Amino acid sequence: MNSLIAIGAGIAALGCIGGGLGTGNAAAKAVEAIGRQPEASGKITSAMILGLALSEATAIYAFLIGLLLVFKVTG
Amino acid sequence: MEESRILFEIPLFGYNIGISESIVIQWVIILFLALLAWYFTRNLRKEPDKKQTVIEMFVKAINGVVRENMGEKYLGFVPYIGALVLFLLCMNLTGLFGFEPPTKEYSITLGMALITFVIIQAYAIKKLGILHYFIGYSKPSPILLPINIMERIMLPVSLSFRLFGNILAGAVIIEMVYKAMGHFALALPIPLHAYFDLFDGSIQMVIFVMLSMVNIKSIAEH
Repeated sequence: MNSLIAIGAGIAALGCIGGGLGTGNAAAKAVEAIGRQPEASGKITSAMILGLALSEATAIYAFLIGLLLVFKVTG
Repeated sequence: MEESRILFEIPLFGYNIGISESIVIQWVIILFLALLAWYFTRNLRKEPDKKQTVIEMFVKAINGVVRENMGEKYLGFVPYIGALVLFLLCMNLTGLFGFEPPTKEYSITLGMALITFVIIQAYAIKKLGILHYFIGYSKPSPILLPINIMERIMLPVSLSFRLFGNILAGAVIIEMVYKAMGHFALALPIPLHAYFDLFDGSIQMVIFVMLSMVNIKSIAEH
């Protein structure tokens, strides 16, 4: 049973794929926008950090589920 | 979330309250910041000398950030935002001094997120009045009521888990490297400390502060 729970925790980590894709996409677009309009870089950066944080939230929920499962095994 | 070491216990109302290492580190940080504040604000003058220029630059920077992200009306939040910046930065950077960052414990990040949560709700109630505050839950349409309630409750959860997860991951990786290298840990941990403590610690601080500011503004104005 414990090994199955551990495998489940590993599968939950797959949720990080979405966070990675979203973060990469946001950063790429921000770089593009700064390349097009270098004088607006301050505003673009703060908007990008917000977007990164929000897209990271999905990966954090995956992390939370993985953590809960791991503590079921160890604790 | 392994149990942190309990250094000593304080008996209070029949319970023994365990004081862990991270709480003592927080006390030291609070003391350090208080001393710093006392030192920098002694005999302020019209014509700033060296140390007053430094502190004025910091206050001006925080003022600029708040003005840019929240607007002129929200300058009253500058003390809270500035305190959050300094306190979170100090907590995330304790890894450089050989301690583990206190923010790798969930109770502490949850505490920080709950403070922001209470401030968001209290400011919205103060600004809109209690009736309009509750009407705000059913905007833009009453069908979205459960989603709005979920959104408000999930905000401190995601805010605290973001900080906790990032700092914990960095602390675990650095600890693994130190354990693997034993007494030969000479140069390899330096880039790790630079990335996980300096870079990730400050980025997470920026994200926490940014999200706090944006949410205070957007919920008070929905």
